[in-house]
Amino acid sequence: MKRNMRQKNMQAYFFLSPFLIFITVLYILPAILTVAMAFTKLDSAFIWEFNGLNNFRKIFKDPNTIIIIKNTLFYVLVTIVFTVVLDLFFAIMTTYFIQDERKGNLFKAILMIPMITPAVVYSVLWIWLLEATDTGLANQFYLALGGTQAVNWIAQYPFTVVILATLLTSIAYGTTVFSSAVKSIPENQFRAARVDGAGEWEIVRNIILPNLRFHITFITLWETLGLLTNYVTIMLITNGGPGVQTEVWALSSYHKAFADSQYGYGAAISVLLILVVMVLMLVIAAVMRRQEKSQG
Amino acid sequence: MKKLLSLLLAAAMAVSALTGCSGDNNSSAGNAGDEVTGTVVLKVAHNMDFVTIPDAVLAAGERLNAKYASEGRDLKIEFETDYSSIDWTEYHNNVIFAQKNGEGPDIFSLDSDVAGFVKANMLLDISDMMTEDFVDGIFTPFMVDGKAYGMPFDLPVRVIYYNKAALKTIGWSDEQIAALPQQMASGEFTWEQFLALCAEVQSKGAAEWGLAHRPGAGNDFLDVMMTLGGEYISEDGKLVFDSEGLQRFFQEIYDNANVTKITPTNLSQMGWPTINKMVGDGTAFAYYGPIYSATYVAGAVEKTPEQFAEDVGFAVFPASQYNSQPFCIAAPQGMGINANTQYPEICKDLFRELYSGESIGQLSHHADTIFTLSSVKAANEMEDIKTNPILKEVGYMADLSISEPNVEGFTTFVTEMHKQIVLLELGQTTPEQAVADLKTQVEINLDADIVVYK
Amino acid sequence: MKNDTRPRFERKKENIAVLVMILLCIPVLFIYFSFFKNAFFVGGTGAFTLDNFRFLYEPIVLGQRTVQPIGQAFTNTVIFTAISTVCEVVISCMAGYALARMEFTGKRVITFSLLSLRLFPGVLLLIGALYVLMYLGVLNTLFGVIIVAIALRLPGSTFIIRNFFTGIPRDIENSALVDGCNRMTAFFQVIIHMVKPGIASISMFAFMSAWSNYLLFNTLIFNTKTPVLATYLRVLSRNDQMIADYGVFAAMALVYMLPVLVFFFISQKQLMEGNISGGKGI
Repeated sequence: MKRNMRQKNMQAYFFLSPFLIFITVLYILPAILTVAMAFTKLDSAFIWEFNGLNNFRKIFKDPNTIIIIKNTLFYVLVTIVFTVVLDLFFAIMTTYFIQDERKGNLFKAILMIPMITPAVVYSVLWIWLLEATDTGLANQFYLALGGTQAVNWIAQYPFTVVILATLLTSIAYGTTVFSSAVKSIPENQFRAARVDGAGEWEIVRNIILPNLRFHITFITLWETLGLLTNYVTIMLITNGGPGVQTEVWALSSYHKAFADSQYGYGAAISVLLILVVMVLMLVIAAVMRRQEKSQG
Repeated sequence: MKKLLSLLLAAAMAVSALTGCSGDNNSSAGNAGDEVTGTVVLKVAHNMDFVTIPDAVLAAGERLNAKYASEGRDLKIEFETDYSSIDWTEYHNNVIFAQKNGEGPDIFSLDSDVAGFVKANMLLDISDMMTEDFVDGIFTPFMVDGKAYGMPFDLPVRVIYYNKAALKTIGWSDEQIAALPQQMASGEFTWEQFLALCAEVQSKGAAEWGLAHRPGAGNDFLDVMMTLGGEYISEDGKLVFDSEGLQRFFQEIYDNANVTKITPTNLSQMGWPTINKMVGDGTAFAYYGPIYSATYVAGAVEKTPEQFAEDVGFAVFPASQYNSQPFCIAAPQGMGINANTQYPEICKDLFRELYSGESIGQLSHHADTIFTLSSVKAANEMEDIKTNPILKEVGYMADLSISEPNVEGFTTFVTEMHKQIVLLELGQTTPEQAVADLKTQVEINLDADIVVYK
Repeated sequence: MKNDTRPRFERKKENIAVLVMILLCIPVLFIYFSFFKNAFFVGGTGAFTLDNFRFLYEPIVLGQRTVQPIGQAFTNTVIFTAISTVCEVVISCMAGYALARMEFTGKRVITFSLLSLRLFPGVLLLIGALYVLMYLGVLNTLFGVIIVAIALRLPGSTFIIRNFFTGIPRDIENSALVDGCNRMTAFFQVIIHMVKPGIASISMFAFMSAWSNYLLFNTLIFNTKTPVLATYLRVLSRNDQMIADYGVFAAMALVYMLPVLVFFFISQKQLMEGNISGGKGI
């Protein structure tokens, strides 16, 4: 029996070893290093020099920290709310109202275009669209609709721009998840409601939304996680500016580390975000466990 | 459980054993340069567009190879080049990372943070190269703790550009226009008068904007602050935070964009091509920045240097009510030798060949290309420079030029200052607030012992 | 729909919904269309031109700068995408199979770490990853970026494929084993075919993410000798300095996006199936 177990272990670890090597060397080790770096003065000279809690003290002394926290909360909350509402709207439109699958899928495919556009191209697309001159596409429309002077959209409304840009890339994912959930609602539930004389709004409210409860929770948490940590769109469009107006937490870690070469400081900012992320992960895990239980 | 852990550890160790031995181990061998024989490959790294700098090194290499061959020495230099055009901070990090990775360049262009390279043990002390061949004081920006760590390749000054045609439009005579640079250099025509002139040109419709500047962070702004009597480097070579000077400077930046409106509020979002074009075609009457930007400006409007010199004049930063001494800052570009290179002597030979050998022409060619004087006296006497239409007019500036030492924390200061400039111009902060915010950032990001607050 | 039995009012609602969706999709399509139109038409005159595509075969001059043709960046991107996608799929299949089907010491610990790592955003560890690569001596190389890219995506894809393996009925595997296959052959000959949809789905996400990846190259590669399409385009469109004009940039962007678009239309269905991994970013 014992030999049998050993053989089984050998076999299993043979299958697992590449995975374990990758994860250990390039996931867990970097994680440990990031935490260690947070307590050092590591800069462009790359000399390890521990300085205790100094980095964290710096974070709390920096008046920008509070602005960045506000920015992050605003960015995540607003984007999340719009994402989920739009996800639901598009899912219901393309799956419930448009029963023809081909048409529905076509629209969903169009919604996916921003998501599959590489970030380097996507950001330039926005910069081009919002160009501050008379010839910029947005300004052409604005002037045609009665505007008097070309607007410098990105400098004037940086947050709106960043949120809109992020929003467009994030709706595709939630929409597909929601729409497959809508599809799996048994048809007779709808029929029964219609027989009872329920209007469309009531069907959405009383049948679709309750059935999607779990999915909505999941997408909200999942997208929150993504928004907290994914800063590429902001980096490429406004790079946190003007000033620190669109700087969010994850981006500020990147800036401190890779633009100012204060790797220790950047790592400290990262570590704080990791703590927040871990709490969020626990919540997600709990939600999923509850879902599994209620299903099983 | 134990088994799992030991397995993980074994795996990790196996990986590190496999790959760990390829780290940086290229430092010790062959230090006695004279004994090096065969073919030597030197890596050259450079950033930004003026590749005439590394090209000069490459050309010097050719000369040396010919010399070695004629002496019958078994030595041939070959080069591996890596020219990028990215942010200087990014470039700076890249060079250090490359070194940490065991593949650092042997010779590389330097950014303004020479001290950072020295701290990372990346630069060879080349104080023995500070010879009579160079223009006086030109090594200053490459000095750290009294030692020279880089060789200056040119002598570009930062100046004020102004459009001559616009002055004509508002009724200036040719003589008046021709006399302006000299008046500004002598202290007769002040900064306050110049700003008024910008406003006048704009209000009379001779230009759309009075005064422009670069879109990103840069040292040009410090020149204006200095004109306004602000200080940023102390006598003993430390970074200075001069609240009063900054306050005046920020007030002016704010006023230019929001009160007198001679500067567009969104200048920082415009980008180089737009700004270069504005300066080149006279949309903006005046501009301040390094004289070598003239290559870009002329390029943006497709003009030859001769045509460009017709249209645009250059002047030093004039006196003001806070600073009686007109000046311009010399900001030479230069290259350094990696302290870890296997071939320090060959690298030094290359530099020597450039400033005192037959390759001096390369330096004068570089200087001519980017419209600046050269760092080497002999190069300034060469035909290229003597006949350059722009250089002809600015030769006198060398006497008014100041070199600034390299100070720790400078890059952070300039970057943070620029963030405030952007906000000020957009009208999103006040000068007082900007000084306070900048101060907090400097206090947080720079160690207390490297900054003097006043 | 041939035999649409729905009442007329429902079809009317569908038509309204279609109309609304069309109205909402038009701006997006219009913006993309107008942007890419720049590639083919001269700014001022509107004349048709292919001049913007010269970067495909020869160096082009943009302002003060000479830009090398796109060939090398394209090759590097293909190499990067191919290797990282294949490795990611193979490694995650092996690990997913072991976690779903085998009994061994430490299974619970590894399963638990997988579940947590899947949710953990690896982007936050870039500073640490940089240091590891530096220590391994592969910083600044395509190889270094490849291994980081694989590692960051492994937990997500392993999780997905593990679920697919769990879904295969035990019987099929058992009968293969009884038929005289050992684990290895059972794995390669029988089981792998059962999870084809799963493999399709993870490889698609791996492809998309590898092809568009910018951040890893921006942080882990420091020379100009290893350009990929993302950095090739980025260098010409920095925030303070749009070096390429929009015509050239749109042309480049089109070349960059073409494989993605083709792939997108082929694999749209899997994309629709909405996989819980997210195809964006890293």
